[in-house]
Amino acid sequence: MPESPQDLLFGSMDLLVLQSLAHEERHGFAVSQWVHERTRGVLRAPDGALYKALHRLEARGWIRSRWGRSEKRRKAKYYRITEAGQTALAHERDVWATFSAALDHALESGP
Amino acid sequence: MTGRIPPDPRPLEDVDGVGLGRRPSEEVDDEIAFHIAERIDQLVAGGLTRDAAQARAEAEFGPIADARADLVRSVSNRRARKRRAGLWSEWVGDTRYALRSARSRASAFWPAVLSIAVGMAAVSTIWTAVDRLVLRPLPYDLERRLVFVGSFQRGGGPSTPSAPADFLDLRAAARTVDLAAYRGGKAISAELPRRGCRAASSHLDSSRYSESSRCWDAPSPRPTSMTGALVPPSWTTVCGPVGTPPTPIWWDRRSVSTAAP
Repeated sequence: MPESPQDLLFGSMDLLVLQSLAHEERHGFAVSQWVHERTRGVLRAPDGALYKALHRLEARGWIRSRWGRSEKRRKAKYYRITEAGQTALAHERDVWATFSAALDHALESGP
Repeated sequence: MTGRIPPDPRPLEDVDGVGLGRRPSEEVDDEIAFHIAERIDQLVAGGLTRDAAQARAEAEFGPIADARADLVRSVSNRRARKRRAGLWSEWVGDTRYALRSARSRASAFWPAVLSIAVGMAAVSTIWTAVDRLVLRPLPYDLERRLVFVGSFQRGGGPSTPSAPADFLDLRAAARTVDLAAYRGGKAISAELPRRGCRAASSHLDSSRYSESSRCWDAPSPRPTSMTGALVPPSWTTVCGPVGTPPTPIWWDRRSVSTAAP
């Protein structure tokens, strides 16, 4: 049984990463910051796990990457979502919404 | 920190060439180094010392060696897939182009195909002649008289190389000829095993050959007939004693069938 919200993060890492890239291109560090900020600091997975998720999604063809220069002129790898990734994101969101609603319903139901 | 950059029309290629021609490990190291450096900057801006910021950034990243190994493997696999896909795509493109050309310019296409076919046939013929006559001539004048000696087992089936014992039986029964066996494409001596000779057929390595007794037994089904050849002694050279190089022999083409003893 998960002891903290962190433990639940791993199962939803792919969904969060896809969502962070849904509207704009980001490098890995920016994705990490996005997840941290949008979850109000509650969810913060080890950054290594986040990069594994990025590479896993790229292998599936859901995101693509290219190398560029950051605002500080550092070499940075930027990721963007693909059409297949948009489709997958929509599906994953539906699945998550169904799951979340079912869980809420179960937890709020009486004895 | 938003991570936003201006739109780049280049789909996957690398800006400034920073990603070109690098090994997967270098690429992964750069990606991890970038993350750590950005995080350190952020923490230092928040009031931490650089050392403390570095320690924290690395702790937040988790086991770097593990992640690095995983990411390097991922990049390598992806590149390999991309290479394979590229080759396949190129082949498909070339094939389609060739077919389109064949349809649209048939008057040039078929003469070209015919020319290539004739050229290949000519080269093949010339090469065969040169190979047989110049490069690898057999040390005999009557090359076409070589024949293969095989056994037919009871119950049918194709001819197979003779077992050593069968060969020796056949050799003893064939009064007018002298036979030799070969193995591995070269004829070898046909002397009796008790004399320590290597005489055998291709079954030499099978269980029919007993290393301990240095002689053959014949537990296999006895052949009903054997195909062989009459070989005038003048055409036959049996190999020398053990230790001398095997010498191929000549067989008369007048193949005969003889009952096995």
